[in-house]
Amino acid sequence: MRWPVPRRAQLGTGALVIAALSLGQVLVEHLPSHQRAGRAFEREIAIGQTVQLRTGSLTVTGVDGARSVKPAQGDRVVSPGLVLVVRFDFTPSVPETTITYGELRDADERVTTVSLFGVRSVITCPRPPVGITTHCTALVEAAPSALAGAQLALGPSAIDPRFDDMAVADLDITEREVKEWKDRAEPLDVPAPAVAGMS
Amino acid sequence: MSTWARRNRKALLLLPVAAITAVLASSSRIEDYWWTKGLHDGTKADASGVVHFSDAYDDGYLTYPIEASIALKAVEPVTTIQSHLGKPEPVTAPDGAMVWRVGLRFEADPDTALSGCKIAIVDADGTRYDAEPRQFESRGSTPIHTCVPDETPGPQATVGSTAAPKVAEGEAPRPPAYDTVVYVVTPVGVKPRAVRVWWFPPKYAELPVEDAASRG
Repeated sequence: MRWPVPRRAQLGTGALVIAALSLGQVLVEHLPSHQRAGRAFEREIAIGQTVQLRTGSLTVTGVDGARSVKPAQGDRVVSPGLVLVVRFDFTPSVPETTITYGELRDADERVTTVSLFGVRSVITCPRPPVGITTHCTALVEAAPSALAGAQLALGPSAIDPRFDDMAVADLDITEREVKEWKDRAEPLDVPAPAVAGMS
Repeated sequence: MSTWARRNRKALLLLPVAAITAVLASSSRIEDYWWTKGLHDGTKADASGVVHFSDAYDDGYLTYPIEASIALKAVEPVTTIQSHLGKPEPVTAPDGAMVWRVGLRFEADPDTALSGCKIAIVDADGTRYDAEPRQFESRGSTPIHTCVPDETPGPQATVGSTAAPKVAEGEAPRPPAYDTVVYVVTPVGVKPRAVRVWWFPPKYAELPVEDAASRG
């Protein structure tokens, strides 16, 4: 039996096919995985720092906590753990946007979502005109044991937090602060979030 | 030219066409996530400052035209708004903000549904400031509608119905020409370059703010 001898052109075509498949494999290995490619664009900040997101600028202005909090608008929340109160300012640079979604990432790598639609863990951030600052709060019910070292991610979309910027704030919580918050006897008053200068 | 290139020249010429076609074939998300989500298809004003705007509502079940001639009458900062009794009532704007009164003139067939438009001021940088309710406080009289008179809004579609828009029972027809007023909040120092009017993105009417029209 005589084996067919490929012509030079056939060998070249075969080499091109192998090269294309190899290039595809290299691209697949080096492009981010779907999970990574679909994540939000995260911008890390500390308390007091301002970060520029696609939709506007955000500054986390303060963190507090208690077993019981009393929002100016809404019902008192009492927790067997702690309710974290994170205050932040947001100034939109595009219309029809505000901060509506967050994720508390604690030291045990648990993720607690908090959104505009939440009940016990909720973000309240009135939508201001473009270029005007709004004062906002995020109330997050959390386990006290893993709050030291926790981060809070904040972004514009409660429907789908991916495909946009999120600020990831290091809340700089210490064990001593967690103990103080647990020992707090009186409910913590939370002022009503509002656009700056408005009631 | 080498023998290989000569033999394959047709395929080589078609390669860029195939590449462009492949990119276009995978571009449906541009339509879904960008084109229909923003204002990209503007209609400019003619020499007399009037925009002859034409769009259509179409949800697959109900279709009706949106056609009007729109002119900008005035863009001016306000610190008071008149009440129903004619008394000027102070305006409270957010810190660092001011309130603008935008006056528009519409000419349209009274049988055309024009409710539900949105209006914005655009500055020299292209930043858009939308007119939204509750962005400022005043006891003055502010209109409910932005592109039709409150008393005679004309035909309106019923939510969830495929029936053509119609004038509410007992309501007078909308006049063929009328003026409307809308209030827009911007940061202090913004210089309006244009006023935009739209019903459904991506189409919008762009009305340039002439010096005479803006007293800001």
